[in-house]
Amino acid sequence: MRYLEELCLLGGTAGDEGSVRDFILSHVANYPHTVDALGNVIVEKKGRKTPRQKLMLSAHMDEVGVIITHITDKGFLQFTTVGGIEPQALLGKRVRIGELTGVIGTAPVHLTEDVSVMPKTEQMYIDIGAAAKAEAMQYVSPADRGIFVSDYVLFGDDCIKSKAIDDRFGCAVLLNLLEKELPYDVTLCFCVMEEIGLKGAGAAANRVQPDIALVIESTTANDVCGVEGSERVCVLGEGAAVSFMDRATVYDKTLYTCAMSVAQKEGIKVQTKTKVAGGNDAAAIQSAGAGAKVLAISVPTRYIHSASCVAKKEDMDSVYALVQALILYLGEEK
Amino acid sequence: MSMKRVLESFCLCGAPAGSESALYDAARREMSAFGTIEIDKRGNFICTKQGSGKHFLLDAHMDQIGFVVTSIEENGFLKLAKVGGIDRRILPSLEVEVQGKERVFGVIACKPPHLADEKEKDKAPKIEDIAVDTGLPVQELKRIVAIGDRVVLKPHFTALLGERVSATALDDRAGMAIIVRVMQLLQEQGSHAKVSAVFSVGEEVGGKGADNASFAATADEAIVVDVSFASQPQVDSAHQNACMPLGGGAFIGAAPILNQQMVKKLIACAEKNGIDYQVEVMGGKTGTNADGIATAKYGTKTAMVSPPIRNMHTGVEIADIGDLEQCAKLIAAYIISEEEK
Repeated sequence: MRYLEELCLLGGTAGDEGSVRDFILSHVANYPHTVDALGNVIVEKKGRKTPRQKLMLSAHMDEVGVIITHITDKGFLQFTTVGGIEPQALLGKRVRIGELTGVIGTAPVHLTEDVSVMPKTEQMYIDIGAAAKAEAMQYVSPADRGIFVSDYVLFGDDCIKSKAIDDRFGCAVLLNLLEKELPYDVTLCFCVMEEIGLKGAGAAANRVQPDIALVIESTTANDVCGVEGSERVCVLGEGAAVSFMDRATVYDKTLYTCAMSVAQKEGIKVQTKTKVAGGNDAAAIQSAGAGAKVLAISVPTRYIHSASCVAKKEDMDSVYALVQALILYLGEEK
Repeated sequence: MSMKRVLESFCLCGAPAGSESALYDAARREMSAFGTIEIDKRGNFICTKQGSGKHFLLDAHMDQIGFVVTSIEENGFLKLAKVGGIDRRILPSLEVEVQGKERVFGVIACKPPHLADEKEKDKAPKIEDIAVDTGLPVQELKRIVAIGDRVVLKPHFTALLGERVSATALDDRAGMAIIVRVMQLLQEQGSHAKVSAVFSVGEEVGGKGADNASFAATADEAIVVDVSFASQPQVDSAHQNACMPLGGGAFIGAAPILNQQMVKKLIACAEKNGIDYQVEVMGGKTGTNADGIATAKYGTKTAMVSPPIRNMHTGVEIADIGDLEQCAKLIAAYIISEEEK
C-alpha cells in the first residue's frame, strides 16, 4: 500500500494531526479541497460520472498516544492517554515527545509486593532521564504529546508491524484512490479526533452531506492463541472485515449485503466482523445533518492501540479492491 | 572506545542464559587488548591479565532475562517459559527476537483483557497466557524454530537526556562495560596486579557460572559488579531506602557474606578519590554472584560495586553513564592501592 509506511511513521494524536494533515495536503494540491475549522481535510475527486447518490469515503488521521499533564519535582512526566490505551500496552514501552525519547518504567519486580497487580495509567511516569524538574522543563511542557516509538517492520508471511496502522491505513487507501481513475465522483474525508470519541467526522459529513459513506478503518483482530470463534472478532488473512454492527453504529443492512455480494462476485476476500465491539466515525457520519447510510470496511489488526499493530498486506489489498468495486456498484444505484 | 559505545555494543547482543556465546565476539573485541582470553567449560568468558601483584577476580554476568520456546502452535504462535525473572507486567505488544536457525521477529500477543475472567481483568498477564506472534505459517515456523530456542526482548539502546540511556539488558551489560573500563584504567596506570576478568554465565537462572570461574581462579580478592536499584517514584517507601538516586555514583555492597575489610577499604578509597558512593546494606547473602564467588573452593574475600539502574528486569532499564564511570574509577583505584602482596 503506497504511502502507508510514511503515514504510519508520522506523529498525530487527536487534536494534533498537523504533520499527517500536511503530508496529505502535499498530495491533494491538484484537487479541489477544503480544510475545515476542526482540521478535517475534504477532497473532491472527480470520476467519469456523477452518481445519483453522493458518496463519501472517510478515514481518520489521528492515532492513540499520550499527553503530558504534569512534571514532578524529580523530573518525571505524568500523563494521560489520548484515546483508549490499556495500561499493559503502556508499561515498559518507549514514547517520543517531539525530539525526545522517554520510557514508561515501573518499580522493579524485586521491590514489588504483588507483581500480578497491573499499575494504573495514573500511577505511571514517563522517564526522559531528566535529573530534576528544571532540566525536564527545558525540553517538555504540560500538554505536549507523546507517540509510541515503533519502526515499520515487514515480517512473517506478508505482515506489517507498526504504530498507527489505525487509521493511517485508511488515509493511505484514500490517497491511493485519489491517483486512480474512478468511475464515479467521490468525496474523500481525512478526519480529525476519532480516537477521543468520533469528534471530527460529524463536521465533515455536515459539509459533504453524503447519501452513502464508507468508513475505511483498522479494526481489532483477536485471532491470537487461546481465542476461539466469534471472540476473534476478525482474522488476519481472511480479507476485508465488514461490520454489521458495533458499539456505536448499526450499519445499513442493504450496504452490508451489497458489500458481501460484490466481494463474492469480484472474487475479493471478505469476512464479517463477528463481534459487536468498538466503534468508529461511521456513527458520527450516520447521524450528521440529514443522515446517511454508512458502512465500515476494515483491515483486521492485531494489538491495535499499542506500539505494535500487526496487519497483513493481502487484507489491505482486499479492502482497497472492495472499496473500488463498491464505488462502481454504488455509483450505479438509482 | 567510549563507555557508552562499549555498553551499546554489549546491550545490542541478545544473550539469555544458555545463549551467552552471542556476546563472545563483542567481549573479545573489547578485552583482548588487556590479556589472554579463555572460554571455560561452563562458557564463562575470562580475560587474564598477568601481573606480579595480588590476584583479583572481577565478575559481571553476561546473561540477560528472556524466554525459552516451549511449544509451536498451529496458528504460528510460540508459547514460552521464562528464563530468569522478567517483569510480566510489561510484556503485551513488546517486540521480540526468536533465536532460531535464523532470527525471527515477533510481537508478544496476549489474550485481550476484556476476554479474561472478571477477577483476572486488571491483572498482569501470566506467562501461560502470552505467546509470540511470528506471523509465519506453522510449517515455515517449525523449519526455523525448535522447542528450546531462546527468545529475547528485541535489543535496543536509546539515548535519553544527558548521559542517561535506556536499553535492554543493562543488567548486567553495565557491569561488563564497567570491567572493560577498569581494565583500561589499570593498563593506563601501569598496574602490576594479576586480574581475572570474568564475564560469567547463568546468573539470572541461578546457574552460577561464576562459582566455577572463582574455583578455577583462586584469586586473593574478588569484586562482583552487578546492577542495583535506583530510586524511582513507583518504589514504595519501605523500599526507597534500599535505592540510590540515578547519577548518585557507585553502590558499595555491605553484607555478612562480603569481606568487611574490603568494604571499609572501598569506602575509604571512594572518599580519598572523591567518588560519589552509597553503601548498600544487605542482611545476609547478596542474591548476586558474590555469594557463590565468596564460598567457591577455599573461599575468596569478596566485595560488590554496583551502578544503580531503574526499571530492572524490564526492556527499558535506565542507567547513567556517569555512574558507570564512577564504579570503574573506584574499582581501579582500589586495585591499584591494594595490589602489593
